[in-house]
Amino acid sequence: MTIELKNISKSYGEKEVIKDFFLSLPEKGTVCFFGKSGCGKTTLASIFGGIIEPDSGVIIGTEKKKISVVFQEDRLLPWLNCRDNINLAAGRKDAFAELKYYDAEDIAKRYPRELSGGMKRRAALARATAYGGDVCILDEPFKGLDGELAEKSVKRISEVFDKGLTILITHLPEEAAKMADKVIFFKGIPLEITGEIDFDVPPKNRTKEDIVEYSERISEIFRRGTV
Amino acid sequence: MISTMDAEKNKKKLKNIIIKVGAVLFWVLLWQIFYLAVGQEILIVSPVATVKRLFELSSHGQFWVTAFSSLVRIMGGYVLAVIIGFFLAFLTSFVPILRALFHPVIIAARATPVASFIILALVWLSAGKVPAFIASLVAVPIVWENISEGISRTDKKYLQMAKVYKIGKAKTFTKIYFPSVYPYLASGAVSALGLAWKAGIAAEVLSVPKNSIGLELYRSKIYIETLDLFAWTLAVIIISVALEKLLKYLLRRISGRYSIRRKEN
Repeated sequence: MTIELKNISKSYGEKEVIKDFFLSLPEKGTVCFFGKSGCGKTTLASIFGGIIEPDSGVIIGTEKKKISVVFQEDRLLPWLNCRDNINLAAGRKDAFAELKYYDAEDIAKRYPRELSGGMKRRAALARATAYGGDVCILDEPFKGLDGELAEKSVKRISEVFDKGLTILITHLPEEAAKMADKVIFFKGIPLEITGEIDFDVPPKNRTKEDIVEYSERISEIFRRGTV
Repeated sequence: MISTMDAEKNKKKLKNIIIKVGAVLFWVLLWQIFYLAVGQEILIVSPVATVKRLFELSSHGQFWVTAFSSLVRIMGGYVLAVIIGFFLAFLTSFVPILRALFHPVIIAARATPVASFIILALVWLSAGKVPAFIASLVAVPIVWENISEGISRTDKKYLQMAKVYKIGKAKTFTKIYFPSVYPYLASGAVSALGLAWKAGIAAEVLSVPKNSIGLELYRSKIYIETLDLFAWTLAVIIISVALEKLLKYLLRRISGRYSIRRKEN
């Protein structure tokens, strides 16, 4: 079973960001949308996640799926503390325990305006993993997190969305090399696919050397503009 | 360090108070000069005589019955207006046909002279209901307009987040729309308060219900009691200022409880 995006088009005013676009995605694994910022990959992921409506086209295979999103901006409500922000999305889940996976249990009762960018990011990640689901869309998810925290976040995300599909939107080769089973390269606008690669070693089993190698391959392909 | 900052703060506070009191004294002094220049008590009375007369009036129980009756009557209409304005704004923001339907009515209500409405209301309603009706009529468009703006400015990104996480309509309303709209509701409610109070008193002057400030103002006009007119007007001003202060205090309390940042922040 695959998820299909067919004939997707989306314009903002005169600007045609996506035009008659087709894409097939697996139901499982991590797919990375790789490309420069502003090429339309976030718009595509937003349409896929049902966040915005396309002007035309259909998405097949996501009707019964529960979708979780880590937005590029954290989108935490400023009038709720982190715990309430998480619980608003995830119901009665233990927000405190979820934050613990991100070393952030002490921010549970604090308001977003009292937090640094990295702390807010962790709260947004905790909201997504507390909510869970079959599909997770991560838009530049580790912005503002140091290496160790990013590792922990990857671990938690992989645990929660193990049986589902994760879409990672990034322009950082190393992030893609760590997490992705497949990388799709985009350019725009309008959005088009310039290439894709599948990696042999599953993310869980990758060594540091694998990550360096994959990272270099991604950079190289991106530089050349094609596979 | 903290104590220096506190002292600085207190100094600033004191300076503000002095400026405020100074401004009031300036206008009172100007009033006194006018009074002395005109020299006819039928046209203008002195500030001291006005305050004295107000004290005199307030020593009678009837004064408080009158003031309280006007307050309840007009504020009843005002509270109703805030509720109607609130729900009407949500209805017209989300149902395009209702927006099209109500928009011209609200524009017309805002442009129509209050006196026309008062006279019409006198034909339609009993004297006691006219002030409340007029206060409502004046306040609804202001509250509606402010809240509608608040709704349109609610951050779409939060609404998208609510959609993704299937937060549901009730929670989207209480957790996203209400806190977003609250600063607009507060500023609309404060602006509408003074106007509703003034228009309500005007409606009382024309509808002369029993136990009302309007009736007292009307009487002072009939009997050319300029001193009473000034004293009752002063009472109207004091009540208006007190109501505004009370409302602002209550709104601040609520915004603190929900940790809502105010519009000016």
